[in-house]
Amino acid sequence: MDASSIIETLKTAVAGASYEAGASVDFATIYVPAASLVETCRALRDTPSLRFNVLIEVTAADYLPREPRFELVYHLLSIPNRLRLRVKVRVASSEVDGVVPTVQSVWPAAGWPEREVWDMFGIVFAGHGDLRRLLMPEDWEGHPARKDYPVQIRKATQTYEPLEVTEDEFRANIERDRLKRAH
Amino acid sequence: MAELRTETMTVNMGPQHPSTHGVLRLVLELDGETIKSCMPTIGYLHTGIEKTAEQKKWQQVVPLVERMDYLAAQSNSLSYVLCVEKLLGLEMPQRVKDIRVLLTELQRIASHLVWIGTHAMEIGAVSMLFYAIRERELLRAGRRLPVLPELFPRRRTARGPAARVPRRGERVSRSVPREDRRIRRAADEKRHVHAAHAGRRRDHAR
Repeated sequence: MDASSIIETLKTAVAGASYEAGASVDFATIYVPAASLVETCRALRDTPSLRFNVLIEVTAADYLPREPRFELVYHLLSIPNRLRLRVKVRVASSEVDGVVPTVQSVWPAAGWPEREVWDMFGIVFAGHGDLRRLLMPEDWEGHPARKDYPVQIRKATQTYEPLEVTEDEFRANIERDRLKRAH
Repeated sequence: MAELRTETMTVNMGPQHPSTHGVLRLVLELDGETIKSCMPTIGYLHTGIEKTAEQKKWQQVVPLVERMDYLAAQSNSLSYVLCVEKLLGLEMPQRVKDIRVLLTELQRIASHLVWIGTHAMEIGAVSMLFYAIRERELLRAGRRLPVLPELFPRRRTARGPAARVPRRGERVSRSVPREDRRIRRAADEKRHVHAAHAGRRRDHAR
């Protein structure tokens, strides 16, 4: 299925969204505006002719001098229809008000990949609920995969004082973490 | 009768642990031996390979991606090279495709040998690891596959991926085509002449 037929199907399912077909060499690529992302993804997942039930990957690409700066990329797979699709969303940097809604409500597997994209690129996902560092240490500053982040940095070794908590504080911390996880 | 105090125990299965097979940190909440919940922390193996690859030409990225799965190195480089070919719109001749698949399947066998060796070792059958690694070494040296010797160059010292850079004047195996062998022989003879001048004996049948 090529991009234009997918766009036709989506236009009937989602009202008022403007899609574009993107250039690609392997499978169909469509550009989706951020405002209608969640609705579009739900239509992609539920429409019988599409049925993209697997979210394979969430990544981003940084085209720095261009505005909007990032292109958020979702790779989808439809097992019943044997189709692949790439959904791209143009997002500005989060400092310039670039925010994308999370697609966790459509594919729960999006939780950690969106965390990774935030960690590496700094794209904020509204409604995520657990947007924290995944690959980098928790207290890292900066988003490494951005084009204006250096390829190699030299960082001094960081040593921490030994953590001193009482047993009750420790149990309270564990309990708090468990409640935070058990949304 | 005293009441039994039951509570879960929180254990840190730290980044290094024999059974994590690589670095992965798990904070486990255990009730006896049952895991009630688990909080993984990842990122210890993150090498920033995507960012590094952005700075390099595609030929330089090929050995870089081979290091990603060090048990089946050529599988990674095949994946990357397929992407590059797709983007450049190149079509490979059938012989290349066949050889690539052959190599990838051999890499798969090598990777599974490590799996079965380490798995058996962990459940107690320690010798299996050595048999499996021995098979892997033979696979790397090409002894298990007498055809296509150009896939497995004769001399290699590293136990890493199979890429090999020949030294100048090094004698290569007989599978090298005739023209190259003449060049190689000339290079070897030059070496012999130099050695004779230096007064040392060289064994011709080396």
